[in-house]
Amino acid sequence: MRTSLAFAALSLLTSCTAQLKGGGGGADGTPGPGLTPGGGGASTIPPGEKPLDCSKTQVASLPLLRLTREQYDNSIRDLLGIDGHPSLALAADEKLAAFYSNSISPVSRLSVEQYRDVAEDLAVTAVKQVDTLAGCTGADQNAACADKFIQSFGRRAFRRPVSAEEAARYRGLFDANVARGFSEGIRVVLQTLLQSPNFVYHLELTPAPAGVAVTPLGGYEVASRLSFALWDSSPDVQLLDAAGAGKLDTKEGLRAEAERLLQSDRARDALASFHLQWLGLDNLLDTEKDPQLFPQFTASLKGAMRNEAVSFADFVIRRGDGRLATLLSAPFTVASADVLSLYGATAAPAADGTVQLDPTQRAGLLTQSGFLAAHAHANQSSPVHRGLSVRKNLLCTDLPDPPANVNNNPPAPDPNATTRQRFEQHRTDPTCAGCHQLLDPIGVGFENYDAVGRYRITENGLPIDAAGELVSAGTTSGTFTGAVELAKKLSTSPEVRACVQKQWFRFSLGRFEGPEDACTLKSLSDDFAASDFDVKKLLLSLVTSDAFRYRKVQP
Amino acid sequence: MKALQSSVRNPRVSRRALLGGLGVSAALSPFLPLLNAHGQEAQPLRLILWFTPHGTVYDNWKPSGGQTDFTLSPILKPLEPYRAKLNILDGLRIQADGVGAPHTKGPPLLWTGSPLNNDMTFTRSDGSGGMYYGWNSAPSLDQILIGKLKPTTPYKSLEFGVRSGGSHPGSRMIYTGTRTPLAPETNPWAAFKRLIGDIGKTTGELERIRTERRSVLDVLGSELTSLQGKISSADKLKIDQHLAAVREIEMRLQNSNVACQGPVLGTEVDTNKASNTPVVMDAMVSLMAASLSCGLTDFASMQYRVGENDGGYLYDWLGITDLEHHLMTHEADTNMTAKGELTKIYTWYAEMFGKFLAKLDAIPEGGGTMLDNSLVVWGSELGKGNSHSFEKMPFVVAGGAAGKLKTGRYLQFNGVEHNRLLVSMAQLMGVPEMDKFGTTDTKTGNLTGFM
Repeated sequence: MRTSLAFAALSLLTSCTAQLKGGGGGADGTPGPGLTPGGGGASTIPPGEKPLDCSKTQVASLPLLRLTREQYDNSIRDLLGIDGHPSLALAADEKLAAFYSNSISPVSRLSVEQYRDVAEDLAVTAVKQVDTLAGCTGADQNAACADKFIQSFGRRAFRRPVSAEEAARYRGLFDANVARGFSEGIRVVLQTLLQSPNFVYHLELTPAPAGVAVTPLGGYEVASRLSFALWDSSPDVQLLDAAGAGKLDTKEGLRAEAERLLQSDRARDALASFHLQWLGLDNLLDTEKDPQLFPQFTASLKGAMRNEAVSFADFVIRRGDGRLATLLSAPFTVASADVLSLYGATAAPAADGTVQLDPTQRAGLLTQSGFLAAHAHANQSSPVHRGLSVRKNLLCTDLPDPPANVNNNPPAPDPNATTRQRFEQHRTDPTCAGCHQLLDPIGVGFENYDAVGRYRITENGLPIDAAGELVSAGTTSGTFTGAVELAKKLSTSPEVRACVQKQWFRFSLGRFEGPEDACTLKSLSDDFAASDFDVKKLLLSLVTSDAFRYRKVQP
Repeated sequence: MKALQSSVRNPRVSRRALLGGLGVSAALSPFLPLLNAHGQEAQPLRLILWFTPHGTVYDNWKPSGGQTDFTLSPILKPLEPYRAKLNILDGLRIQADGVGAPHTKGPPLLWTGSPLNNDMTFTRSDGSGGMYYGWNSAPSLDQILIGKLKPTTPYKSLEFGVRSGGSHPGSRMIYTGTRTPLAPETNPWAAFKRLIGDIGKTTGELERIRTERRSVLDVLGSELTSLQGKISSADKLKIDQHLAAVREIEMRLQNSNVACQGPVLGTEVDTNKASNTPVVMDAMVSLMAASLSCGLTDFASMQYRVGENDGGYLYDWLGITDLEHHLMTHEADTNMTAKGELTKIYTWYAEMFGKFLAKLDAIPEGGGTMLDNSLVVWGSELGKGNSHSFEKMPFVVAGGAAGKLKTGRYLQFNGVEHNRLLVSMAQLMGVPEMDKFGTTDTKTGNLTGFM
């Protein structure tokens, strides 16, 4: 999240030093005290703690969520065939750590009007093809057709069948406006469906039996969760039909639908949302660089960098071997010509679209241009940002606030020194070192890449020293030289595996993990290990887990 | 702009003659004298909260001279034409209590005088000092005043922003209560269309759209009401607030024979593109002034950018392309290049504020101008970037609050908490009994020397 940038020049974080001595991860899959990362579903139980009791289904509570902008846009595209980003006119999404999720504050007065404005515009556009939309033509465009539209489109918009009472309300809207023509009646129905709380909220209201603490979700609710987790969009008709037929009530049936969804190209949207948010690339398109130093950093290149991360992740997870290790260390990419030219790549693309890169220079997502450019300044690289991003997003380390009263000027640019040398103070000054030893020694490992991700061996005519170290990173701790070696280390790190699993949990459920999710996290981690850390398999485990299929009953 | 200035002379009286707009209600009859909550005949008095991020360069902000014979500083120079209508408040501090990094908690603290919730809403803490905090814990002053004064304007308040994206305490300064921030509208063209954009439509068309919207709201209201009975108590607030918003929009549609001439905004541009900022700002300033002069609301705010740092965001229209603003604020005081560039940015802030004052001051009202009947308060979330100091906060107040406030003054304070200013604002706006504001407030009374 943008907070991370508040660390641009953090220095005195004495509490970091104290925490370095802290303990390891908790048995419940959430980190215990101390900075040792990972621990998600770790099978080792610290001495003195009780072993997990997974005899009863447990799941933490999920607050009422509202569609994110991405979910709104994808749903509009899938429901109406209208491309674009209509949600740009809506208020920005809330974020939980790395991921967008509107879980906390109620909609504001303005938001409700924004929903209306967007819905009105979309409905005007959609009814230009009212024949296709309503599925009837000529004399058949009558009240019966409107009823069918309300049922069929309403079911897709609400992600469940429309009740008779609801249908009657919408029919009333149609009747009140049909005098001006069939398409006018449909238009008003449509704009209302798109403003309906049944569309904009993720409602899970299947009644629970009295007295139970957790209850299985209804079939349509499972379908909805599944579709947003794997497509970042509303379910298609086939998925709703499967829900209606009770096929999602069993793990096997749910898994079969999950596999179908992952095979569909729509899965690219969810993989895009996850990876862009996880790696902090969601604001890449708004990032600017000094045009004198980096004239090539145009809107088109920014878009290509973003696409590279998405296409690569999509390739590895859905068409490649699916493994986390490949995502984080592959010597190939899937990218357009302008990104490849930034890399100096000359190999021709293979039949599957992949391009081999110099394996001494590139290894997976962390050495791609998007990550490197997003975590750099306008005029220089940033060991702090790059180190922080690895810490937070790959190792799941939470860091304390920078103190307010410290003079935290970053070292000024110096034409006679390397970035590494300029940041040396963070290491030598004990007041800085407390926290910066967690960040900079990782970040300097990326010094072979400038602020737009080009490979370099010198800076200001001086040789680059990319020797780095992972400090206080559990079993991943240790020295390395350069980002390729770092990436390989991270790609098989138990701490990173546990963290990635947790990140997927947060993304797909729209909430943080809670103590009651310990058994789900444990089973995920067992499955992930059994699959040799195949992310696609992790997703299948996740969407068939208790946390995904049940909800906690709230008063 | 010309249209606005020439046709909206005394908007409270003349606007009915203009157009019928959808977003506008005649709950406020233009020919009746305005009554405030205390039943006295009132001047139309407006409160406008204006935000710019990351403090200032104090040396270049601080005026020189005495209380009335002062000379404006380089940064405040663009405000010279309104010198006689200003109160420059030097030396106030914010009691920056509570959790959250300075840039995060600053914007909410500015107008609420209350800290962020101490919860784990935004980050899962590791339980040992990790970074965690929630939305703000209490409402902002404008919303409290709205609750007390019960304005009958179509909109209780309007929140505007320019590039104030994100949804995070550092990007939300207006709150109706705990955990309930109000998002600003960041697209002036969208806001124009919503607020005063029905110009040119026939009465018949307007009536049709009103009828249609009423019927839509009717369905939405039924759906939300039905949900109220099914949703858990933990989620009920969300549905309640949604329904309240629907009801408020319905109210605005009840009578809608009032509207006014809108400003000319110019061609729409991409509001997310940094280099378009000056164009967007111009349009927003025009729209804000029109919203106030048309009587759409008496409470408005402008949030330029966010308290969270604006990483990757340059001021290319000021020729600053090498370093982000936030990063620059971290430079040492001795870095004269950074100081010069920051001064350019803060001077541009003053220019933008001045443009808004110009709009208000160009609208005659009563014996003076609309600016005279307003209280426009400009603040920031920090005093200074590199120390993240909440001292020497750069507050500027414009307008005479309908004759209640002396102006043309440079007032120096020695570390007085800004809660006193918030109390003064409440009293000037017509709540004389308020003598404390914000949960950080441990004292009482208004700002001595200002009132």
